[in-house]
Amino acid sequence: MTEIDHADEWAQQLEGAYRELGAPRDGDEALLERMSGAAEAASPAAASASIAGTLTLVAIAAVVLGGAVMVFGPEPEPEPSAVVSTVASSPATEVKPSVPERPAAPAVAPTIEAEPKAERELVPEVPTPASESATEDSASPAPPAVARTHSRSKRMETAAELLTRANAERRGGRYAVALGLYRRLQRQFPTTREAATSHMAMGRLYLTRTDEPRRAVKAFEEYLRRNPSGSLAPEAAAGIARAHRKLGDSAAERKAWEHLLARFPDSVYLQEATRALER
Amino acid sequence: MLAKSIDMPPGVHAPRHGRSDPPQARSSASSTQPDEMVGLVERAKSGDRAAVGALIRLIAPDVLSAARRVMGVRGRADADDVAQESLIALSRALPSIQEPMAVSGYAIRITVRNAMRARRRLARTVDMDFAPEPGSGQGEGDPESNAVALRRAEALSVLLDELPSDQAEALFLRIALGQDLATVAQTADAPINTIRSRVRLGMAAVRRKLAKRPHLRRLLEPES
Repeated sequence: MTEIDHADEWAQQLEGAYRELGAPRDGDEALLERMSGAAEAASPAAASASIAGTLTLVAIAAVVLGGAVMVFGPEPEPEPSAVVSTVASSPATEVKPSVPERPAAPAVAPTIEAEPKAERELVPEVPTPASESATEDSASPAPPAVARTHSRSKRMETAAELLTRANAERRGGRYAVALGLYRRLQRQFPTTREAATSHMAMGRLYLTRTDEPRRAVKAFEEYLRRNPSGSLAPEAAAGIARAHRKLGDSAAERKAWEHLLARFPDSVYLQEATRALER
Repeated sequence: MLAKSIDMPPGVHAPRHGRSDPPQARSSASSTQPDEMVGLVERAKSGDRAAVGALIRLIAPDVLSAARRVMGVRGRADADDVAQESLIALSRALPSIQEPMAVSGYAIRITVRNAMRARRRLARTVDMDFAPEPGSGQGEGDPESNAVALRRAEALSVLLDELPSDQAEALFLRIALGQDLATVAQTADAPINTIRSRVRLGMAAVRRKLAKRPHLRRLLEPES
């Protein structure tokens, strides 16, 4: 059997397992929508639309001011739409979408559903060709408005952005910074899915990186309390058992594995749990 | 310049070749009519934000699935991050993509590369010490059998983490994503003979590693 054949054989044998790993899960629809919204907001097209929208507002303001002046003069007021298309130098089709997509300021703490809208509104922090072109527009009346948009994006960092930043810090080995960001996320957006996920991330950090199993137990328990059927619930349950093992509390470890087996009987931790209980 | 600004995974460049590119047989993107796809990509490239959104929503399920497959059970918590990063990289790279039909394959490639990088960061924490007993869980479809299959997949992925990235990429696309060699070549933007060579060398390296790690060998080659 050649190596190519061997790869084919493994591909066949493991097809089911990998398909299961990649299979859609509960909550994917919202997750995909949130991801797509963030990616769309990061595209150069979105940045262009945002700038065009700003230019439109400036143009409308100019028209309004012009109209006020024209009250005292004999010349007829120009049609706003004509002025908009001339001043904004951008097709009306590009300008229109940006206006209705601006969400009103949230009156209550942001919810999971509110996040994608907020993400779409923000200008990406990473420079893109479009944002560079915004800088080139410094001669036009737009820059102050663009600058305000940038500073607003820093003030209004969304739950998803906070989680992404915290995860990046964690991956970079800056655990204290990551933990601080996870806590901030939990404070600022306590009801979001991202905040719930952050408990899981903290648990893993405490367990595998900072060697604080007692804190790990609390973090995993908090995740389970918020997401008893969440996609990471089996991992959280296993994390609790492992943390108790690390603490040397075999009774608590045993109880945690029993809970995992009862609650998630078909999880991938079946054998680890069974072995632990046989010891 | 583009690669710098969007944190593109090493080795991934916007596709420029005129290859048609169905990334996965059952993907929603590949089930889209070619004319529709070309039109959508062209509109997205020209700055039509609605088209950008529609294109990303079309491709996102495949990206998420690919991220989950490569990240595996142990990296599950990070799969969403990988998918998100990949979609953002794709959206920023859209203006530079020349071949509309290559977009979904390009997205898959970014995802696999991002996932491989994330896996390597996590590799030190992976615990493979609890291999199942040989012969256990042979029943089709029972939970234990599923657990063993997942464990086998994880064992293979752990070994792939140690390969040169071109070989690992080819094997992840072939085995984890189930692409045939021609599709792997399209996705990886490489000649098919190059892909054959990467698969052959990668598999040889995996089998050499297995010879030194009996607990993984028991998992992946139970009858040997």
